[in-house]
Amino acid sequence: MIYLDNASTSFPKAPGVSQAVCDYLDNIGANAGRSSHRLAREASRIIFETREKLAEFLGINDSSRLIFTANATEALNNVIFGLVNPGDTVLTSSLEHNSVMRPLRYLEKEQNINILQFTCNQDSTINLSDFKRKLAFKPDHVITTACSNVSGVILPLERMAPLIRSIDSSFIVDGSQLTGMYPVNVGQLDPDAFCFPGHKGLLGPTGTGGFYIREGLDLNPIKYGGTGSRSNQEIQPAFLPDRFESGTPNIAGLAGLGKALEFLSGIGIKKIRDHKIEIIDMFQKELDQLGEYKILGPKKLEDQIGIISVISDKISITKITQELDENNIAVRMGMHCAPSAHKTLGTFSQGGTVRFSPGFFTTEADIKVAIGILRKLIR
Amino acid sequence: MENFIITFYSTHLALKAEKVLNKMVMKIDLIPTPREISSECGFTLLIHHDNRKAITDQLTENEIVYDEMYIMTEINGAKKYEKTD
Repeated sequence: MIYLDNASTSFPKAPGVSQAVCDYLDNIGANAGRSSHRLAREASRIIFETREKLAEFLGINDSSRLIFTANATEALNNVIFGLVNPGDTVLTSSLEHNSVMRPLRYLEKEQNINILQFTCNQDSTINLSDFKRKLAFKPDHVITTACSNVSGVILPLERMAPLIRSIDSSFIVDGSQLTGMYPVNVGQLDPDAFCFPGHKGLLGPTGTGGFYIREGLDLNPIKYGGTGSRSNQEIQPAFLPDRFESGTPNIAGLAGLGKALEFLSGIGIKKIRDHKIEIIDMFQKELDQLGEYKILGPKKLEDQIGIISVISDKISITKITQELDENNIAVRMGMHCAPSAHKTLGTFSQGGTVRFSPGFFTTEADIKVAIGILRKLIR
Repeated sequence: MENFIITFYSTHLALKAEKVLNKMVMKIDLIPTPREISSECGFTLLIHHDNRKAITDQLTENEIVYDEMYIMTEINGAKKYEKTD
């Protein structure tokens, strides 16, 4: 199977991930942060070491400000429900995934929040003029994706951050498609919160993710319960990471994520990014030569994370996807949980696009095979 | 050489302290908190060292807050914990 669905979740995972998961399950197995026996200490150490590695990878000084969750959706839910108050105004992009839009739409209905969206150009690059115009409404929060999961466009967060800070709005980033694929220093970017999955670009197991919150941010948890700390008290601890990590964590998954981070740090984010650019460059050029398929999204490689969405006037997205699947090529068609992004790209009414999302292990030979199938479909 | 016991309010802090103190080349054990000591966290650090100030300086430098520090002595097999100032 040629797997070109890494924007959903990465596959294969980094070398050693499955062994780390198995090693925990087979040889450690204990809960973390609760009991104090040797196995419990080893389990606690797995989580601590993964947190430390991730903090280093993301440029975060204090690893206790990194909270682990099951995925980026849970992280975004925690940040949005923990931070947005009734009647608040939220500015967001017109490219968001439903992990942002559904919590916001719920709050719009139930707590009368106001949602503003800044527009994007037809290739999904952001309209900075409109972004500035919307900031003039002085929203309480700006919640934006770092990168579209449909078009692959990278948003200019470094240019947006000072504008957001100048109006004293909170700044929340959905780093789902960026983390592990593109150089990002969260400490330098200094958002109020940065949410990420552990299973996409970070090449860890599914069921891992998290968020960073800056010092001084007053955020309520969405989960309350046992943390192993302050066990004599029925009040949720205020300190991190315990405040947001009630319940038994995904220790097996975090063992795998720790191993994946070792792999990524060994390779280096620049090499990871360079490889993706080579693959995307080749893929776009080959697609252009075929003539039949229209690429939605930015053509400039520096604006592109490595997600190629296509449509064809003559061949349906269902036919393209089925043909690829029958030839052992995995892609995702449809709305990609991001109706807003498809409205921006003009592909909503026709049911979306076919999305190709290569990963770190995708080769030029893989792309050639995919192009071969796409070529055959035209005939 | 003395045996110091340091308690923390969270597992994360206990492990962070262990990591930064390890750099000082001393013998450190992460042990279950002795029942004679009241602690927020099930883990406690047992440190064999001759310079208490060097330990606290290293923790302060790395912005690690600890709960309490004790000196542990053992007489005829019985352990005694004396809280430091």
